[in-house]
Amino acid sequence: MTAFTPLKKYRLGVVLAPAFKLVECLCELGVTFLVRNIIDSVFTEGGSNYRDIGYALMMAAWILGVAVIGFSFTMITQYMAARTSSNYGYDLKLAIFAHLNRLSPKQIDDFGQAKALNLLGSDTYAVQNGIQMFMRLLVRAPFLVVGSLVAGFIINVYAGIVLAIGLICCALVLFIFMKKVPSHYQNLQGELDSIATSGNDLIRGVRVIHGFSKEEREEAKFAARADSYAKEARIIWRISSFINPLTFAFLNLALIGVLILGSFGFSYSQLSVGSIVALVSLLTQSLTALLQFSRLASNLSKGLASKKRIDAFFQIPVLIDDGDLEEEKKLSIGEKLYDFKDVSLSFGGEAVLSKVNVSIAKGEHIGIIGGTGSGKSVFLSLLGRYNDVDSGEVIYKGHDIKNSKLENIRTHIAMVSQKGGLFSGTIKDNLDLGKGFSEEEIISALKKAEAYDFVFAYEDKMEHMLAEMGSNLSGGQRQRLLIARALLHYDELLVLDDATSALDYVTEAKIRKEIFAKKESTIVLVSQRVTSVMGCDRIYVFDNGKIVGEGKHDDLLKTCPVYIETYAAQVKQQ
Amino acid sequence: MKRIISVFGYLRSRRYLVVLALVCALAAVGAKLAIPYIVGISLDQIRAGNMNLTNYLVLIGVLIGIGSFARFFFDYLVSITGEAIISSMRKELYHKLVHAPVSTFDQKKEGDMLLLFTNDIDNIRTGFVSGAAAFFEGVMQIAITVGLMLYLNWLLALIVIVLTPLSIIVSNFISKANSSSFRKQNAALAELSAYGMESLANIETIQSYGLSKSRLERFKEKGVEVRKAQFKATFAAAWINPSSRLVNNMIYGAVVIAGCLLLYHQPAFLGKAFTVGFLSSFLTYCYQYMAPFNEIADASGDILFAFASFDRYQKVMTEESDDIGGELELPRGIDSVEGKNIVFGYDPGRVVLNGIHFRIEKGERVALVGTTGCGKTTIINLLMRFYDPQSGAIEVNEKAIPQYRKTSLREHIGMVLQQSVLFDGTIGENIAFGKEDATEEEILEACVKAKADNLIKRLPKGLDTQVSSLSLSSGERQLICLARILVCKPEFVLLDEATSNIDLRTEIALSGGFDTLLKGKTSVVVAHRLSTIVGADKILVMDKGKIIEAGNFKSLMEKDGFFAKLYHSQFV
Repeated sequence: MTAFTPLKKYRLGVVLAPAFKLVECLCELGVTFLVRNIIDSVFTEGGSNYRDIGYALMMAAWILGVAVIGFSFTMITQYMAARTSSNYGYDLKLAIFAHLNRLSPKQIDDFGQAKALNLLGSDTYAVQNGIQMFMRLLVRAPFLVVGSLVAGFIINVYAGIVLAIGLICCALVLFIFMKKVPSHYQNLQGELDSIATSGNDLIRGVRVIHGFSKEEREEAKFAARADSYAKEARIIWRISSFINPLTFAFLNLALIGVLILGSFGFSYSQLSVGSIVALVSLLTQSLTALLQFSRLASNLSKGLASKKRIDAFFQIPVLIDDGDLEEEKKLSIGEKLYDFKDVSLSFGGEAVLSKVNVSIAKGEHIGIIGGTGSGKSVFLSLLGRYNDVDSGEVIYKGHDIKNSKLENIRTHIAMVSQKGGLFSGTIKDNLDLGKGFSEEEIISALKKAEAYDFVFAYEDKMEHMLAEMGSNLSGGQRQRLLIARALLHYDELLVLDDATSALDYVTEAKIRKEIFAKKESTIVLVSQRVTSVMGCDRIYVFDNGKIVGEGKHDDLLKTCPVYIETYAAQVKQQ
Repeated sequence: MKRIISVFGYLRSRRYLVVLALVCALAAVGAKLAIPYIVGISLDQIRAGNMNLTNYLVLIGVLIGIGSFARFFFDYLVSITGEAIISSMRKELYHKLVHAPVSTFDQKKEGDMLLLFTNDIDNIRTGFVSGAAAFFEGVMQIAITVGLMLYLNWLLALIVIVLTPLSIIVSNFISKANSSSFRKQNAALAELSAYGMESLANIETIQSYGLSKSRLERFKEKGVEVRKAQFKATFAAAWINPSSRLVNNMIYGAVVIAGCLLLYHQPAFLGKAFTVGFLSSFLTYCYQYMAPFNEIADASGDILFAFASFDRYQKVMTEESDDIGGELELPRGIDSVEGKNIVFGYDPGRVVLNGIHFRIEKGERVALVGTTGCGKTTIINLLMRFYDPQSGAIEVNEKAIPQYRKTSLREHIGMVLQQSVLFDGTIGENIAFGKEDATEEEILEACVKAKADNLIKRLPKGLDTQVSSLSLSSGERQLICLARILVCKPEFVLLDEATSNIDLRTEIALSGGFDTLLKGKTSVVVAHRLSTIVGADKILVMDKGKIIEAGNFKSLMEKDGFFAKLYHSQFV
């Protein structure tokens, strides 16, 4: 998959549009010949229609007619170009978005969220624009140049040679430019990324910046990045400023050549005045076309640089792919849902999980307790197969988890975690997620999560709009909504990852009571608070990527030093 | 057009460069246009049988030289100046936003704001730099060409001049009829961008709840809006060039017809003979005269696009800046903080704080406790003056807080928030964020106190590791934010849920370090963990926007009220 893959279905248009444009170019060249005809034929002694003004006027009328034909064909091209580029842009954005969805959250973090957003925005636009330019304008220049050359040779061989030399020199200038600039454009996009990151930091971290009163310094840092961008841009401008003067010089030197040929009339290079007039206008036309082309070339460079970035993005492999299993078993109470056997995983050479053994059976309430960096978050990511293990086995419903379809695993897990989770939209939409739960079911979940009161305190109740990421709610309100949602969607497994950290003890206790009341539910509860996990059927104690304790609360109090210390510390504070 | 005037305002400071550019344009265009005149004369010489054109050829050569150099400098000056202006605009935007009140950010969409820094500024450059260049050059060319045409044959020139407005009318009409499609395109793009950003930030939730399909469907919907708007805008811009070319070709045809008639009849009122050579020059000029209109038409699409982005830019630039506070400084630090009957709500309708009173003396360790959503984070927002109360006041050292310069106030307050934000750069830079001249020892000392030293040791390059190369858990991020505050050693500390995401063992060790740090300092801790507030000097218990109980742990327990109930619910 490359950036151009979505373009394939439009290839007819991409080829046809320039073809129509050729007709317009032919019309333009035709005008030149008509003018030459008038001058040589009507206004030069010995011409075939000397002084026949009627003939001249008829030729002039043809000029007008040809102009209209050219216009019609151009408009067809414009339409096709606009259609194709906007359709292609849409398809490309979709392809990028779809690929993003297939990557794991970690891969996206590694790639960079701001960079990914740029792909969807400015990079797609640059490629789209490049294609549009290609269809609309790109053909014109080469054709006018080649056409002028051919016309020149038709008029007079030597004139044709002079024209050819002039145009080749110009083409060389443009070629050198097109070779040198793309790498600089890539650098420029890199600088733009860096500016975007700075902007993003400001938007996310404005409170921290104000809190430390670091406005001036952050501004200075940003200014440095803006200056760095400007510096790179200046390099590009320096190179591209040579194009116009050089092409101007070469083509007018060719003009001098034509005049020399005309004046030192060799017998085979006899140029009529009409011919010289025609040659002059051919030169002027091709010069204009070439210059237009060079302007396009810079647009194309941008487009190419963006295309490379998009291609590189599509190269990121989808590490976690669907398995083949269409149907999964429905387990009965006591059957193992998950069995992790000697599971180990490293990120960047560092071990985050070492020989972990955990089993979760249907109907069990499993507690997980551990400190920061203990590996419990990574372990949780294995439940939904957001990561694959380096060694050991992950058995899901009796078979290797890799055999399952990802959707079948993930949609049966209702998870509440630390990372965001609410979208802009109504509270109801955020809870229902388009699955069509009844209002009673939703209200029931809200009550269990102790969120009913604050939601119904709003005038618009469940239709109340949430801002992006639920930023118009407090931390505790967000957590309660996330818990309500998880309870609503609970299907096979409920995972609560420090889900009540923003809540006070009263609220947390009530919610825990509700959750544990579902006797046959399978729950994995991760917490810092011993009091939260002590009621679980089995508790795993994580420390530094290893499991240092496993068992019920009372057993652990006798056997696991880490657990004992944690519990004592908490109790002591009473 | 008021907008054009405001754009020109940016040029004022660089007016010398602008003048130089104009002079170069004049020279370049002048040379370019003088050549066809010489060519015309040469053609007439050839017709008359005089084949010695050496003088004329040399003259053309000189003109080529002048034209090339002038052209180079014009192109270079325009692009360099344009880039400088854009750079200033970008920096001014950052300046504006970094000094904007927090409410500006809370109210706007993140994705939308980010576009301002990247896309919108880019569009302004494409439109106003290339558009400006085409405009400068075009005006020169038109002026000089008209002059030459009038000189060659005033009748033909008049015909051209009279017919020219047709070209302008056509392109203007099309541009105006389509400026709304540019705005729509920008709006649709902004919405898609915001949606994309939200999807990226919530990718885990989307994948866990099987929302990928529905997110994709909605992305498609928004993408379709973008597609439609883009097609309209692109096609609209695409009419301009061919239409004006058509009109120009018609003018060209009219000139040929009129020129032929004049050549044939040679009427006396023309004043001088009209030759084929002159017609040739005239036709060349006709083309040169019409070409700038085409180029301006070409650029007008870009310019329209740029104006839409410029409008968005101006909208942000004309918003109110954060008020910097009054004149007072805090040379000796904060002795007391008092809240008097504070009433506040983020939205006008919903009151979050409903008449709050409190007093914090220097050296006190105060804990804010209460049910979720009762307003504790809001108090932090007000103490930092991120927001101001609708009524009532906060006083620092017996004077109303707005009288102090905000920077002076915040200098004395250290703050750790619920969301841990790390910036682009190294870990060391993030920790030294509040005090950039901190030595490595000071940074490491703070890490040890924050119990982040093990974390730092585990990183591939220690303090020099780039944040962007790591994926830290939220607990690890908080450790770093704690180290950040510990480097600055502020005397007044605000902690909002700071330690709730770190495991208890670490938190115990940390609170020991904190106690040492907080000795003799004032602090306000918003926490749910009763263990952290047991050691507080004063506990403020909040419910539904009011402080309902206050006192130390012992006295509140004896009171056996709301607080005691909260405490006893520790065990189910």
